[in-house]
Amino acid sequence: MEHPKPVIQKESKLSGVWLLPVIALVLATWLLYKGYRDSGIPIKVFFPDAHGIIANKTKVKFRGMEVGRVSKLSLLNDGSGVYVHVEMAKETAPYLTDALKFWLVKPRAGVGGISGLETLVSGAYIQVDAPFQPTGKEARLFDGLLSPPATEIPEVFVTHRLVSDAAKSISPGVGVYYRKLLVGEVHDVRLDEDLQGVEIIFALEPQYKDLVKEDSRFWNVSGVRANMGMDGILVETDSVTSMVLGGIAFNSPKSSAVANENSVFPLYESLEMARTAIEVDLTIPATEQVRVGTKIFFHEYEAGKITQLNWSKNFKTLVGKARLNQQVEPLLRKGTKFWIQKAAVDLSSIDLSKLIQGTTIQIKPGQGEYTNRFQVATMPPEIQFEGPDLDLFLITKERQGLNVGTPIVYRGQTIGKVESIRFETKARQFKIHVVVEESYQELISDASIFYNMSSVKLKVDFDGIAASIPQPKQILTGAIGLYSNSNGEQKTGKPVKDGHTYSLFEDYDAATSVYPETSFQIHLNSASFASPTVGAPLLYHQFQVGKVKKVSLKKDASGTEIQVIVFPEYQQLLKTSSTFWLASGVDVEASLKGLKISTGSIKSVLVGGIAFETPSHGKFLKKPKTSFTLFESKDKAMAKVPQFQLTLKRNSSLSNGASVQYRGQKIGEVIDSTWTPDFQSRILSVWVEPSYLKKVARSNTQFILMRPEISLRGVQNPGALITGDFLSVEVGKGAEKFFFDVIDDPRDIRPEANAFWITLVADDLGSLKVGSPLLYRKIRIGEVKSYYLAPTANHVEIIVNVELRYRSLVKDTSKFWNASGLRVEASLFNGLKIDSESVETIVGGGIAIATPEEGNVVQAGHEYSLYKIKSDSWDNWRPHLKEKHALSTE
Amino acid sequence: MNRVGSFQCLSCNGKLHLRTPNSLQAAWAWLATAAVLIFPANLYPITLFTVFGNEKPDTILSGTLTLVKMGMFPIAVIVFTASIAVPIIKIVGLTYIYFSVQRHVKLSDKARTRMFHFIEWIGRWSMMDLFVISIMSVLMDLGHISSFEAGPATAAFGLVVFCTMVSSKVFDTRLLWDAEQASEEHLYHSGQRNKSKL
Repeated sequence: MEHPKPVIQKESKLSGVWLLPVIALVLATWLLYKGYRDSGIPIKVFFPDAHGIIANKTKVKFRGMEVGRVSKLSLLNDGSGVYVHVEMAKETAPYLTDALKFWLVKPRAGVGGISGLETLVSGAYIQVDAPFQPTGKEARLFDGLLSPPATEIPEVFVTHRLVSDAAKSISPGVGVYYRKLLVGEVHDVRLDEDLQGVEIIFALEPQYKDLVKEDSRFWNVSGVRANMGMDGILVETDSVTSMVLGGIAFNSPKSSAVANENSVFPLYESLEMARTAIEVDLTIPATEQVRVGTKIFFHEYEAGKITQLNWSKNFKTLVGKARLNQQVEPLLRKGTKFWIQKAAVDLSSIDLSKLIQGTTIQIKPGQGEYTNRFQVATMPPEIQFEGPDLDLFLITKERQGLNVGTPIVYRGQTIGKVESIRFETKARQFKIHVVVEESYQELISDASIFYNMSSVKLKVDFDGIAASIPQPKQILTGAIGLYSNSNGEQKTGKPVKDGHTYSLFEDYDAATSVYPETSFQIHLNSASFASPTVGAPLLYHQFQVGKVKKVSLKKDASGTEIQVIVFPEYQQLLKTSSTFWLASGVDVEASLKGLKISTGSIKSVLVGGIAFETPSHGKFLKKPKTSFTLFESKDKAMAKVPQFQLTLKRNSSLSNGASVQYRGQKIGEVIDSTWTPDFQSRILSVWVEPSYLKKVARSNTQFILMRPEISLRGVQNPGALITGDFLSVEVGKGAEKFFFDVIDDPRDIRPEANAFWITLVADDLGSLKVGSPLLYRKIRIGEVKSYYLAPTANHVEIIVNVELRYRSLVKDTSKFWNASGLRVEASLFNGLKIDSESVETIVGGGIAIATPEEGNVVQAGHEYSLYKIKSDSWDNWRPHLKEKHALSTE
Repeated sequence: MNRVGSFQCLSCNGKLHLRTPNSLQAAWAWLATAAVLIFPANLYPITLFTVFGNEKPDTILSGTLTLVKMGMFPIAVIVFTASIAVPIIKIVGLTYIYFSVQRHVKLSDKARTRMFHFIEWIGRWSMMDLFVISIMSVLMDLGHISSFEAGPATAAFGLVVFCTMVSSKVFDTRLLWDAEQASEEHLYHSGQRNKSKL
């Protein structure tokens, strides 16, 4: 037997798995190499103080990107600083030149803002700044800065230069503001070439480069400027930032051209200086109260002020310099006059600024060449009639609150103003130069009358004030009125020319005396001696329509006689039937709506007045001086004579003054109430407004006592809760009648004559009340008006009022059932059935009605029986009303 | 019956071997891979913990030290055991076993087998570290406030654990018996290897 040939297998061949460790080894080696390659370039940065730098933690950032990390800190041998060893990223190699700047970024909180806030949590980091292109020699040792270096201005920024005599808290980094908006930054501040001033270089952000115009003005907004003087204290600051850090603001005129790059501008010390850029030399008489700071005005417009004052060489005059606004530049001509306007201490003027600014210098423009040297005069130049406006003179002995600028008023419209006031020493009078605007010239004739409207003249007299208060504005400024009578008419005269002179009347009254009023007068006879004073107003619904002219005692001394002027335009308010009374001025009215106190005008409260009312009837007054009676009070004037006598049996809070209402509207009131001799009832005397009297005084009329009633159904007559009980009137028909019994039980109220009502007969009343609803398909179509026990006492009769529009729903076949309460039926098959007409009927009771198709309309008073439970078949009744019975929409 | 192997399985026709061929060699290779990878696993940061933009990379060792510094001693012990001690013990232990098998070093059968199975069992626990990192990176991710990321060492570490596990798996434990047998014979026929014992 042959042995099979042994199969020889090579025993230990190299397994393919060995590839794995090889790959791992290669990977690890590569990683190691990469680690070495990326290990970074070691550099050293010298910092005098390495506060906040932590080895292995502090980063070096370039524009927010991490480019290196501090690896180690080492102290200098002499201890003068610290070497910060930084491992810079490999890619930074070409940039590591001596042009690099390193500085430490730490949180910095200043008034100017907070910077480096992120370092609060992330710790400090080192910022490095490098030029765009690598420049300079390669370096590995750098000097670190403790604060950010001044940045180079990128080319996109537009720079300009400012020149100033001192830096004045302007330093690099300070903001440049345009209308308080930060638009640029000061880049550098340095002495100019001849070392006489300072040159400030600032850069505008690219988007704002066009803001600087050729005529732009720059001023310093640094710090707080306080200016103290007779004018008061002027404190000027800009934003808090610029106050602390300094800042430059500028303004540019719209029309000016955009400035070229690198333009030079002067830097003014303040906004004021920037504005008043024109300097003029003034020679001022030494006697005058002119100071540094005295303001220069062109009319009312502040044009500048005096900035410098020195004695002239001979000590006779003052030589001053003034700075004027750019806008007045065209005025600075040879013919232009400057003069001193002294402060007028005038109590009539409440214009404080005028009082405070003291002496001012005025400019009057003239012709000629441009100049900047002027002589200041002590008196205004002679008046020259210029321009198209009408120049007039008014002569007065009393200046009375008139000032330069005081308006000339014609019926409330300003038509001109006072140009100047001079005192003529010889004549001891004032000559007021007024200018009337061209468009109003036609109003002026030689017959024109001017009077002083200023209120300053204090006549200690209530009337006086009232008469001379023209307009609030004129109280402050005073005014000159051009007189016209109350119809707006003026005397006609010839037109005048410039320079016409008038005399100025003291006040309106004085003017009136010259120009008598054709007013409408009436006479009032008063039995009392408490009469209004002269000047007290005649009021029509608190509106003044006239005034008391004269008060005199009657000849027989039985009273007073008062003459009243009624302004012509209100004449038609008076009729022969008008009633007059003395107005107290205060009227108190209390109602559910709250307390209402109405007072008349303050004047009528103070001085009283005469009020009147005019009923619609009566005739218009034809001739003046009609006599009327003046009552002491409105109540007496409107004295109410009770027409009705009512007997009230029930106790009630009804008292004198209780109202009598017809459907909610008051038509009268209870004047008086007295007990009957047996004290069983009260007799009320009731007054009803005459216009309603005829309707009310009918035999079928009912007076019903209304009292508040609070029940589950709600509150009835809530008004009576506050005002107390009142009477309601149901107007009826019939013969005239003035004696009534007050119905104090709602059940006794008879249905209105034209009402439609039915009688329901029930075994008992159930929970029905007066007012319980009658429901048709759950819509309220009527209500229980009253109920009573049948005379035989075996059933109850319920009177139900059906609203007329639903009348056709009630037929002789109609069925009524008591819908009060809640009906609960439980049955095995139907489950629970709860039936109720409405929530209101659950508690308040109610009656429901169903009507079949057939049946006839019934007459009022028809009798039905009231079922306790409804029959299910009634539910299916759905009568279709024929057109002639259809519900009216009324 | 073939000495080297090559039986057919009667039910599945799979090859049956008396000793898995090249098992020791494969085990060595996997172990070598793990030994190489353990260096990047320990030298590179395994976690990148960022608080308020402040990045703090930690290697396995520095992380453990941080835990010690923070006073969390028990956790530090666990992390140290799972992440440093176990992988190293595994590599050293397996090296010793493989070496002893190859060189027929005298060692009690029982002790060697027990040691091998202990190493095999403990190996998987090293994955705990990666498990913790994966949970932390989810829990600590608060956007800009803090974030916790796995570092480049994670992959290497995971591979170390994986490689050691595979290594112990591919190792045919029956070789342990051979080694015992051989070592007994070795006393008489020193220097000669005998692989023909059933």
